[in-house]
Amino acid sequence: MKTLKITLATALLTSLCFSTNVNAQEAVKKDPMQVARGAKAWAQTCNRCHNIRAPKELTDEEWEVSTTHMRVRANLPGDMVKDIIAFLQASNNERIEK
Amino acid sequence: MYQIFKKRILYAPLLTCALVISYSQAHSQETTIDVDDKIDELDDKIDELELLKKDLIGLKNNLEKKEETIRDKENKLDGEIRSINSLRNSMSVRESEPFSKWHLAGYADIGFESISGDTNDSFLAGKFNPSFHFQFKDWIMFESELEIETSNDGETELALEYSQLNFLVHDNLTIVAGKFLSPIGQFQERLHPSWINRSINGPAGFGHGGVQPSSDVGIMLRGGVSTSDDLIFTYSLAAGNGPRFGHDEDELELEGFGRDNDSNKSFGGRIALVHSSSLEFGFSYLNAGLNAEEELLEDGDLEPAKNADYRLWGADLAYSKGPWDIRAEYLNSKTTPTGMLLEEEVEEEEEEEGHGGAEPVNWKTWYAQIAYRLSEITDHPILAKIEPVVRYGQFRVRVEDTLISNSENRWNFGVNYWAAPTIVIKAGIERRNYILPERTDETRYLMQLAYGF
Ligand code: HEC
Repeated sequence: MKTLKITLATALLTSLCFSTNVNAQEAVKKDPMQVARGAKAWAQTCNRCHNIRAPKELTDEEWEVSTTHMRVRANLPGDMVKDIIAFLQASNNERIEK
Repeated sequence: MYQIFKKRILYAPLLTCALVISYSQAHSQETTIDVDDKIDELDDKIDELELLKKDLIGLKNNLEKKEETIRDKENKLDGEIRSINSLRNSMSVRESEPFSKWHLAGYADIGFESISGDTNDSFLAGKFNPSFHFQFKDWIMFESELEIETSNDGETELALEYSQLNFLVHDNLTIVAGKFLSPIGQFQERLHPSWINRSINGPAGFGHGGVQPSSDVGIMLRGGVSTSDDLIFTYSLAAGNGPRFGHDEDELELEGFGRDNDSNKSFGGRIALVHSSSLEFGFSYLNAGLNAEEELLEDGDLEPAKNADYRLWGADLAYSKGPWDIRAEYLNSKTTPTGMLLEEEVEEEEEEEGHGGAEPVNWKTWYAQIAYRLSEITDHPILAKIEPVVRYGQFRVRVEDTLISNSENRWNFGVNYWAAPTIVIKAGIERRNYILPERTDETRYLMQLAYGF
C-alpha cells in the first residue's frame, strides 16, 4: 500500500514537472523526432480552416498560446498540438543563443 | 781565470733571482693597492645592493599588500558576479518560461456595399473584433472576443462574442465553461471571421434570424482523438441555457443568454471525422426547450404563454487542400409547440383571442462554396494571389407550412486578392432571388478588406 502511494506521488510529481513547459531546445533534445512530426502535422492541419501563417510571424510564447487556442477551437489532439508547437518554436528563429 | 769565471757563473743566477724578486715585490705592492680599491668598490656595491634589496623588500611587501587587496576585491567581485548571474538566470528563466502567457489577436474589416434599386451606396465601417487569450501553464486558457461595430445610425455597438474558460484536462478532452460560440456546423464556429471567410458575408440563413444559435452559455466537453494514422475523430458536446422565443414568430433569439428563463437546457453538439487528406465530415444535433410566460404587450394585447420543443440537425463537409477550399453545409431546425391544447381547444381559443401560443416553424438552409487559388497555375506575383470564389445557397422558413418572405436562393461570385495570408481584399456580386413574388429580387455589389491579426 505504502509503495503504491509513493509510486503514485512520484508519478504525480513527474507529470507535474513535465506539465510545466520545457523550452523548445530541451524538447528537441528529449525527442528529436518531435519537430519532424510537428512539421508534418502543421502542414496537414493548420491550413484546413484558414491560410497558414509563417512560423516567424509569432514569438515562441505567442505560438504556444495561439496553437493551444486552436487545440480547443479545432478539436486537435493535445499530443499533436505539442508537436506543432515544438516545430513552430524551432522554426521561428526567435530566440538568440545566449 | 777559471775561478773567476766560476764565481761569475755562480753570481749570475743569484743576481737574476735578486732581480726577479725585487721586480715581483714591486709588482705585488701595486696589486695590493688595486685589490683594496676593488674591495672598496665592492663594499660600495654591496651597500648599494643592500639598499636595493631593502627597496625590493619594501616593494615586495607593497605588492603583497596590493595583491591581497586585489584578491579581496576579486573575491568580492566574484561573489557579486555570482549573485548577478544567479539573479539573471532566475530572471531569464522567468523571461523564457513564464507561467502565464498571453496573446492579443482578432480581426477587423471595412467595406462598401451597393444594392440594386436602393439609391444609397454605403461605405461599411465593418467590424473590429479584438480577441484575448491568456494561458496558465498548459492546463487552463481564458479566451474572449469582443465585437465592436458602428450601427446604421452611427452608434457604436459592443457585443461579447464569447468569453470562456478552457480546462485542458487531457490530450483528448477540454472542458469549456462560459459563453461560447455555437459548436453546431462549421460556418459559425470556424468560418465567420472575415479574414477566414472566402465570401464577403455569411450564406443565407446564417447569422441574425438564421437557423442555428450563434452562441450559448453553459458547459461544453470537446476534443479530438486520433483513431488511426490518417483519421481524427472530433467531438463538441454542450449543455447550455439555450435559445428563446423572439418577437416575431419566425425568428428566435439565438444568442447565448446569461440566465436561463426556463429550466429546459439545450443539449447538443457536433461530431466529425477528419481525414489526413484534409477532408472533414461533420454531423450536428441540438435539442432545447423554449418557454415564454404570458406577457402583456405594449399595444395592450396579451401574448399567451408559449412552450415549444426546438430541434436542429445538420451536416457539413470541408475539403481544403493546396489551392482548393470547398465547403458545404446543411442545417434544419424546427420548433414544435408542446403542452398544447388539443386542436379543437386551440380553434376555440383562437376564435376567442385572435391568436394562439407557439406555432410550428421550420428553418432550412444549405450552401456549397468553391474557392480556387491561382497560385497552382501561375507564378505571377499578382495573379498567384488571386482566388475566385462561387457560392450558392438556399434558405427557407415556413410557419405552419407557409413560406415566409425571407426565403431566398442566393448566388455569390467573388474575386479575392490575398495580400498576405491573413490580409484579403474581396470584391463580389451577390444575387438574392426571393421566393415569394411580393419581395423583389436584389443584386448587391460588395467590396471588403479584412485583416486577421
Ligand atoms: C477548425 C478550423 C481551424 C483549424 C484546423 C485551425 N484554425 Fe487557426 N483559427 C481558426 C479560427 C476560427 C480562428 C479565429 C478565432 C477567433 O477569432 O475567434 C483562428 C485563428 C488563428 C490564429 C489567430 C490568433 C488566434 O489564436 O485567434 C492563429 C495564429 C491560428 N489560428 C493558427 C492556427 C494554427 C497554427 C493551426 C494548426 C495547429 C490552426 N490555426 C488550425 C480556425 C482553425
